[in-house]
Amino acid sequence: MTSAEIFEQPTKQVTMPLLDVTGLSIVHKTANATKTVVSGIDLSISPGEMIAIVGESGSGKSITAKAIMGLLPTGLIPSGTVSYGGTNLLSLDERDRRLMRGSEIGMILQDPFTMLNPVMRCGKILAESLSPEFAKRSRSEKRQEAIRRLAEVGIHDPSVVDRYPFQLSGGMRQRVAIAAALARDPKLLIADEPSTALDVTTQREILALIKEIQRTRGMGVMLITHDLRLAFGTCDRVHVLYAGSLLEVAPSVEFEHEPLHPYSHGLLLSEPPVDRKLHEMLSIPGSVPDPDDVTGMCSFAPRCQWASAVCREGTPALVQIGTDRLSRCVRIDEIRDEMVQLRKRIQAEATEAVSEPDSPVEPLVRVRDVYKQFSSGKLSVRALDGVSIDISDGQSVGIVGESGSGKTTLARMLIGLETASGGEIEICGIPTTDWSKLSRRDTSRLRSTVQMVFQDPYSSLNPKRSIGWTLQEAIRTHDPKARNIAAQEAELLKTVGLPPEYGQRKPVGLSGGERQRVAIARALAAQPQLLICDESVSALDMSVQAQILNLFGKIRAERGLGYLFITHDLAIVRQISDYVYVMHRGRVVESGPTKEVLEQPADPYTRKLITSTPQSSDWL
Amino acid sequence: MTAVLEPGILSRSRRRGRIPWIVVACSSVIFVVVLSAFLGSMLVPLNPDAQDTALGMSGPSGAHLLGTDQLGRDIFSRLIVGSRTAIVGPAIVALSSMIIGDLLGLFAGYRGGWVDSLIMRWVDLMWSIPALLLIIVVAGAFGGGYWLAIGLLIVLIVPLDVRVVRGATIEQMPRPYVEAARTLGVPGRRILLSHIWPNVAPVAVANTFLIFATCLVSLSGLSYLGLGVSPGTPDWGLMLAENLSLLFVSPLAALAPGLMIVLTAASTNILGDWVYERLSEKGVSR
Amino acid sequence: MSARHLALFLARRAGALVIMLAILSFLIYSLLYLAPGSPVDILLGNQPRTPETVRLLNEKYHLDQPFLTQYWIWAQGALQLDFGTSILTTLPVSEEIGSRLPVSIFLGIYAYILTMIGGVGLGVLSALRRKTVVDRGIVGASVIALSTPAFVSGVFLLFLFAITVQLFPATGIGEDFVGRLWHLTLPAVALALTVSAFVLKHTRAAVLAVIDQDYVTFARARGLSPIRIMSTYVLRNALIPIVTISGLVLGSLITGAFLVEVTFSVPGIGQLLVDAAVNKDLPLIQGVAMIIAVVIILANLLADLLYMAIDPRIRVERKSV
Repeated sequence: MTSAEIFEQPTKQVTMPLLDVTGLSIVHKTANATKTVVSGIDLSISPGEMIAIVGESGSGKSITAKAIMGLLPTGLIPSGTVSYGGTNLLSLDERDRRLMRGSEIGMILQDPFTMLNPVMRCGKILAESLSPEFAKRSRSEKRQEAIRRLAEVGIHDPSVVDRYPFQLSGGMRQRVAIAAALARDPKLLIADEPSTALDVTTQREILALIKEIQRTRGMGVMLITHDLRLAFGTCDRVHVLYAGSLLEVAPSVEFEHEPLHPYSHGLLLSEPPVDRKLHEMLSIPGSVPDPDDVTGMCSFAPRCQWASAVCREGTPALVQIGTDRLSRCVRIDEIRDEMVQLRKRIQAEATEAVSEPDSPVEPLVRVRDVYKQFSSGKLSVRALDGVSIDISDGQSVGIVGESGSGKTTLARMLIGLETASGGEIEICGIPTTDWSKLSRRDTSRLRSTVQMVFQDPYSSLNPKRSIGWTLQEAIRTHDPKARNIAAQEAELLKTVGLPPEYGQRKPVGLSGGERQRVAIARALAAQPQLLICDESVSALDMSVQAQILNLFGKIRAERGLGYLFITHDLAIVRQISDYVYVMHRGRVVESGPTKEVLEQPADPYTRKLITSTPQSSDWL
Repeated sequence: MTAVLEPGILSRSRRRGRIPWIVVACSSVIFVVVLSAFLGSMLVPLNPDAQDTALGMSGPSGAHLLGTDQLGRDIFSRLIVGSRTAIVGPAIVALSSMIIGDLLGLFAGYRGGWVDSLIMRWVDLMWSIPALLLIIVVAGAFGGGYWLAIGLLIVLIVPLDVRVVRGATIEQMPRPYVEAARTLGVPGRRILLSHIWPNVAPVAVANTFLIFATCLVSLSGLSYLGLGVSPGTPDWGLMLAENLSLLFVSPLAALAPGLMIVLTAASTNILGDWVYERLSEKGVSR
Repeated sequence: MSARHLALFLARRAGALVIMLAILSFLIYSLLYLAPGSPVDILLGNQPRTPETVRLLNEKYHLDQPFLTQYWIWAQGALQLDFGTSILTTLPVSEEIGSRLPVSIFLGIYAYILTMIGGVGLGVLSALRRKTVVDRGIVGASVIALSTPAFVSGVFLLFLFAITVQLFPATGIGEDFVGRLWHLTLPAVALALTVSAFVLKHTRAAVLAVIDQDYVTFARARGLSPIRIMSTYVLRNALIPIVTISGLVLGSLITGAFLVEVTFSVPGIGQLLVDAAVNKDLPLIQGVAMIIAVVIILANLLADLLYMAIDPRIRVERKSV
């Protein structure tokens, strides 16, 4: 029996959707408890349609995709119907589901670095993915087919079939994976965050490729992403998933024009735009709840500024608004105008300082022609190649670059975690090219001048120590004679917006955003003049990212301290820094006031970065 | 070397604060063995060295619970007293490896550089030599003995501990919480002791248990071969060898010491895993 | 990897191997001088010390020469497998070893096969049946097996299957192949038990780590058959960490063999070494130690080559450096 016999060709009926999901719920069963993961999801994809499922971490978007594929991990049990070509996939046995995977519905996963079998050559991965009728063909025929398939995904170098995945870049691996997923010509492709692990410029190329293949093949695509703007830029219809249920469904254009649910509204506003600086960013307080904690009411109610008693009186239904829009907000008619007003106010452009950084006296940090060579064995890589930057007191400077640009190496040099191979670094007039040669007094002076907030909130705090212990250590290290340490600790917690009771807690009980707040408090304990933030918000959910960015703004206003933002995200730079350096392969390719650089980029690389940043319209 | 069990396999029967029955059982075994090692001579019903040549070998009876060996010595009493050599040696090796191995491992992992390379060459060398082989060869030249074996085991096994602790330390080193402490200017010794050590401790402690069990087995094996404790000493390994020929007539005489070795070693291994889980569950770092 | 690179790699490893052997042989020879008592006394053993016997010894072992010269002469002999004569039996050491080696090799290979079948097979099974009764049973049994040294399991097997139920012989090694297989079954099982528990633990962990990998999910998402996923994805990748512990497996098999051969009175090389050690028969100890050292070093080289053969990442990285 072939897959075609099990599944009637959906093209027989033109109106019939390719995939029709109704009332899909998934529970996680353990010995002691049953947890809801997603509940009551309805969605459909027509042939040739590209839809998006947008959600933050923990919303259940990947699990939904896995349920459609029939690849749920043990313990996760789906119910409802997933109808494909008239058959409910959930009622099929494993053997029939396997026949469907790859040949009817294909899937690619998030991380191209782990998705391909590391011990297999790319050609073999493609060959084994081809439909069973190829199995009997000769080796050279399969090879030719693999080369042809690679050409379809934009790899025109036939030698790639003889290479192992680890010999390819992330973008190339993702292309190979797409070719493998499409090898049996499925009619539907599920792409689970296919570009998240990639650099901005590669991200755009991959999404453009998926879009192009989708158009030429007339294939249905379900894109799973956390990025609303990216969804608008690529998909026809957007579904917003929150705490396991859909809150809003709408065509991209209309959705972007006017979101009809407070959550999508908030999510949209917390994504910083790259084309202008916002007056302030709206952030949604708190973080995504467990589905079981918000049953019997609107799941967004605890975080919603418009929530009222009616929102907590039962789970609202997904109701139709207008011709083809759905929203789960019961108060949408009442608050619609208010939301419009709020959007107008928040999206009002802020005045940007275009003036030169007071090109002045003596900058706080002065870096001149610094280079750094990393060598392992006979190979050596130049991570930094003649970089010069200045940061004056109280200035907010951004460094933008993709992975491998050397931006993190530069930041680590400024705090003495890395030593330059040559060049000059001066902080507060102290030459700090080599920290090991500094006197104790100079070192401690530098410690209270420059501090750092790291990227990963989960390993940024010692898991064995309470928050209070961590902060007190920082306070004592900064000032061994410090008194009323407890008061200082509470003060620090207050500054970063945490209640004093958090001092008793261990990091394991904190959310990512809360941990990052503690990390900021720890850095502030040294009362620095400059805070280096190395991708400090990139691991956080969109709604939490905005909270932290606002916190940075607030602290700057209160304490007058300067920032050095290391990031890959132009939008963040736009919101938070006055002056920007663009780095590429160890060099600064362009620098200037943020507004100027982003609006009139001079360097081709900067232009490429800007066009690659997800934008809602005309992006691909 | 890592824990014997997959993390979590012991926790299935653990409700909040409840200790799994298997851990209770293993602790009891260890408790009894340790008690016999310290108070053995007071607990024994009969003098373990008294020979009753007139009686000679006999099966289990009211007077001799597990019977007597060929020299008429009471096997049950010898079993109790034998726990001393069974655990003293392993305890010494485990303790030394805990002190020397953990310190060297932490230091090598933290400092890196030539200190690390030097320590690692020693570790690599010892890693590829089967301990028992080296001990037998040296014992052959020097005449063997319990204390010689303990000394050699320390030299051979400490590197295993160094390797484990160093690996765990190196894993912690690049974590932002360590780098943040360095950035704040926290002194190196303090970073090592109050930041890294608490995160490395579960692995180190579990490894100490594993080393104890390994040494227990190695030492009794050596005594079994006649290269460990001196003849006549009540020792589980030696008893097994002495009473091997009684297997046809009075099997318990040979089986009981073997059972004690397995019971003690297995209890230690299981306890080690449990301790590892308990220590690492409070705030697991990714 | 091209033939040239392979040749280069082999040449480098062979060089390291020769140096390693030189150091080891030097240490092993030094035992004669490190051991308490004079070399003459040691080598005399139970013979009376007369000028005549001493003269003969000096002639044979060149004890009147400087130490390094003695070592050099000994090492040259060792290269031709001449380790002198056993003090106890007065037979040439190489003859003693030669007569014992076949049965030990037989036992070793037998136990190795059992270890791999038991360890890898049950390890994979318990990983695939994760968190079921089967898994818990296998893991529980392996903890016990891991804590049971070969001589204890040997005694228990002897009691159960040679005395209580007389399925297998308690001693002897049999005449023909089948007889030998039958005679050596209990020793081989005893030897394999502890080691296979070790292999099982690592296999289970390796398979569990691979099963959760994205590439397995992606393979399933492409509709590949379960057999294919099992062989080319799960087992193929799990093999890599299993091969890295093969050196340790060999070491445990060798030391386990000492204990098992004594328990079952198998006249193999392990029993020979233990006898030699108990009787301080130094030439014999030196000979056996050298042979075992060579076996271990060669096996580690083999494991390295195997490791390179199955992991392209290692292979290609070596090439580029």
